[in-house]
Amino acid sequence: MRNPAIIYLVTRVHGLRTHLITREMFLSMVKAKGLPSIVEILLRTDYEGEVSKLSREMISAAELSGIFESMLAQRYYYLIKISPRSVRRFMEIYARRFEIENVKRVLRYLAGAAERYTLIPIPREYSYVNYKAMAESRSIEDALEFLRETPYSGALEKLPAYKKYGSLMIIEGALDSIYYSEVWKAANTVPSKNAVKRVVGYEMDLKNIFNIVGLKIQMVPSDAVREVALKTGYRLKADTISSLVSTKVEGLPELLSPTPYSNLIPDLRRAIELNDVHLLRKTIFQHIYSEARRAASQYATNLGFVVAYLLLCEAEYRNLIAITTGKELELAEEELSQLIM
Amino acid sequence: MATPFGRVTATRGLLLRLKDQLKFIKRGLEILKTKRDQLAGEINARLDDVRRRSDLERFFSEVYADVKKAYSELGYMSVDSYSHSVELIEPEFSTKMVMGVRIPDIRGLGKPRLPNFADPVAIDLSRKMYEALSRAIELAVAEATVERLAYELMATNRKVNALEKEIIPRMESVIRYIEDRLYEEELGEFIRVKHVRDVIRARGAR
Repeated sequence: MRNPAIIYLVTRVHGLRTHLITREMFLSMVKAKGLPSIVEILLRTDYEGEVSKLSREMISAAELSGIFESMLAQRYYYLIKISPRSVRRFMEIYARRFEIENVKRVLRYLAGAAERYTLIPIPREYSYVNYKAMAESRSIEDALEFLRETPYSGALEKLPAYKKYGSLMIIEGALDSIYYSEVWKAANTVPSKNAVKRVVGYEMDLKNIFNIVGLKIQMVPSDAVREVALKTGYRLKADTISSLVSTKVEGLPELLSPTPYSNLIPDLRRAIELNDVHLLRKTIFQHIYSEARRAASQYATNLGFVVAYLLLCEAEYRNLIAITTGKELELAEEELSQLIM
Repeated sequence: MATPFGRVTATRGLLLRLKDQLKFIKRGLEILKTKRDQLAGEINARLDDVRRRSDLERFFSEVYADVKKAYSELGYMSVDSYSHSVELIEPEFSTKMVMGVRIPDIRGLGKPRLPNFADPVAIDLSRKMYEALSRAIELAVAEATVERLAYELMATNRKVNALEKEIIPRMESVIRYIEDRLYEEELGEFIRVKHVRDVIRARGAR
């Protein structure tokens, strides 16, 4: 018999899913005259609490993006609170993407001459890193020492590679590898693990394809791409990933023929021919979120639905960022609607 | 005689000095003409660089469209974070001399290194901005160079014209005047001497 706590969680998430912004509302925002009109629409959603605190003068895409980012993180951490013990560890690890992003932001701040950095708010009980101390480090090497007693200590092993390439992308790749490796291990311990692994696995594989192909379009050397790419995947075997990394960019799409991602080939080919990373990004992320919607239908009664919901929250976040920023920068309505995923 | 050079006394010494000066000025004129031609050549060689302004303006429009797209896709928070770690453009400005004109020189605008982040859209944005800024700096250097060379070309041209149309003709005119005066004096002297010789011969014959 299914665990009642899981049934409760899935049912709650079904209820939460109805709060997500619909495509029709997104299209209304695209047609809106300006940001104040978009804020009027947001007042009818879960963003009402934070958005209503903004005075008319304070309304800007930058302010709103902080609110959207905060809401996305809150949704993840709320689900950790209401998850049963059997699932809570997986949910905590899955939510570590925000801490990983914060660590990346602090490292980028240290690498440049910036005066400030902004972090995604994370509840104290789910945070392992002392960002303030890390940001006061004199070097990247010193900053990485703050990860030693955390789940991200594996990043320290990449210090020699970081010094060789002189680029933080090596460390970012290491952090992503650590994250997905831990998520994958945790996914093996939850009920309905096949459903969860399918949703997580698709996300992992598609983001890996995006990074590899995108970096090769940008003519990043193959050995640096190898350092950044995830070494193993869900439906992407290790040797396929290795071939993707070492093959010339023109030959990449065909390598996906024997994989479940062969439907990406025409769009990938076009993105590569046009040297268009925006088209590549849109292709990949649209697939991630389409898969999440499909999984939400297929796994409506198990944990797969919960993970799919979280991905749909991320889709909502990206759409809101695209619409509000695009509106402020006066992108045409047609261009804005194409950004919606 | 009152001349453009003031009153001159027609002496052989002055004539020789003026001829030497004229020779020197004509040599100087040739050098200035060579300089003028070289300057014109240098400007011509750089005109293609300067004509690229319209290409650059078009490129800026394209990059700006990409910037807006990238901001819309990544959001202000992410772009802000990426921008913190972007390699700064730190060119070395110096000057060099071309035909006596000090023109700007720039070094250190090479290709950017590997970026400090792994997002391909952010990398694309940073590379395009780097290229736009590098090309703008190069264009500014080219335009400043052409401006200074053109200014020097104008000044050189004025000097050449002044020498060719004023100073040399006036000098030649004074030299001719002195030569004429000296010739007249010599002729007068010759006639006087001949007359005296004739008188002495006539007295001797008596």
